[in-house]
Amino acid sequence: MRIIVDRAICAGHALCAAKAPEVYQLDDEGYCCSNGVEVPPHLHEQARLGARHCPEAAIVLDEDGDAKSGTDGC
Amino acid sequence: MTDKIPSHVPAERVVDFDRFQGPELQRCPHQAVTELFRRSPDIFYTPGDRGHWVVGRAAIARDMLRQPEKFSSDPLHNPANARKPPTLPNQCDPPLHTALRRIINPFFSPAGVQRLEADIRALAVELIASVLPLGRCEFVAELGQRFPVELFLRMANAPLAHRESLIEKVDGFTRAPDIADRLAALEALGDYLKVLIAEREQTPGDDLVSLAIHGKVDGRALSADEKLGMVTLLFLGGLDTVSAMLSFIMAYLGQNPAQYRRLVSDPASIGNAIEELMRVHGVAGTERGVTQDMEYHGVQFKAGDRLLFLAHIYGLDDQVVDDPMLVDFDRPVSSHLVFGSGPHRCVGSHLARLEMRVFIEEWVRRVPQFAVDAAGDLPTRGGLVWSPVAVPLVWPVAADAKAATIGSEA
Repeated sequence: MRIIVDRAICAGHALCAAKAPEVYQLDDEGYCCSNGVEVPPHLHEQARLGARHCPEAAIVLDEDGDAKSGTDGC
Repeated sequence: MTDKIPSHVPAERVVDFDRFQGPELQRCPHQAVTELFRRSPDIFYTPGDRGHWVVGRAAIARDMLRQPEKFSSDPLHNPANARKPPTLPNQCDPPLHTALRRIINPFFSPAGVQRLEADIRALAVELIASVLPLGRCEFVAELGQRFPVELFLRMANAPLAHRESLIEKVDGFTRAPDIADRLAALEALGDYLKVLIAEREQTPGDDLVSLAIHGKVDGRALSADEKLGMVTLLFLGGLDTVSAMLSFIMAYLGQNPAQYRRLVSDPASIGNAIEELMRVHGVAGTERGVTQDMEYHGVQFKAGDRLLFLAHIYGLDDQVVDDPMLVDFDRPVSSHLVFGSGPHRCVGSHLARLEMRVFIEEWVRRVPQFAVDAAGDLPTRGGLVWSPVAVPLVWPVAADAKAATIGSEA
């Protein structure tokens, strides 16, 4: 599974990191910077929980994990 | 009434709604305004408050708030919302907005506000202790306003003695029905803040005002208007919104003892409960101006049309939330937009959540049960920020419990 965050849409609500702190990281300004990050199987449920809570629907989880976008990290 | 309706607005989209004095805002405003929207077009036009469109649905609002090139925050496209001083960065669009937000984002990020938790908790404990032995308080004035306002004044390093006069100015701007009175209150706030800014320019500190005014945009210093705009918005946000929302939430918990008991027995559930309580108790909205003639969602807009987004009630939208009036702490997601949506998402959202969680954590530790000491629905006030007028609370105090409580605070 790979995390795809539309950083143009992410508005820094930060509920992803509040709900799934082991999965989602925030940058210094409080915006999600986990775009492109691979999620290990034991955290898949947490990743879905965090994505579901995004008020902007800015997070998509590529369940097959072969997303084209690279990691732009924190 | 009809003479105030612009010619491009069709009659079937006109609904009478006055955001300051409407009858819906006098009691249970969230329920009453939601009911008004359910029988109205998704986007309607009201002649109230000098005439404006109102967007009543969450999904439409989220889409529009993402398009500043069409729906702008700049008063250039919404002259009815022009202010002196301006408020920034909420009254400008990207890219200037992005640059101004960067100055204060790190302070207000989740990690940034976490550093304040110990101070927030200490103040919550102190204020609760000040009313606890009495067995009663009027929550809005005695705790709801004091708690966030004193925290904010400490962050800004402004004198606590100015608390009442600042609250009065902010209240005038957010709730006076007449626009002239609102603008006069804002100007008075601006005059106060100019003095504070001049002091911090001379002697910068590690406070929020110093941080805001010494920030840079693309390598340049802020103009005098930009500095004043930034500090003005910080004060407007810091002095009113948490106070209003916490007062709504405490009134709800006092009126719903079974749900309150659950928080007492399981304090770990407070975080989720607050998210659900915020969903149904939004207090603030936002405005935009239409930048060009266009059709959007079946509505013909003209450049310069004014748009009001009632984010207060987007969490009660039955197109997004099942059985939205039901307050259920176990909802998988408490979907709401009480902090807005898009690039202008409330910068203080993480601080607001932290303040409310900490306050309620400390309240449940000390007050095992309490009630609202009034029959029926509490009176409320509309305006830019909705709020209860007063929330009288009572709780049992035994003589020995009183002594024990005072002892435990020593």
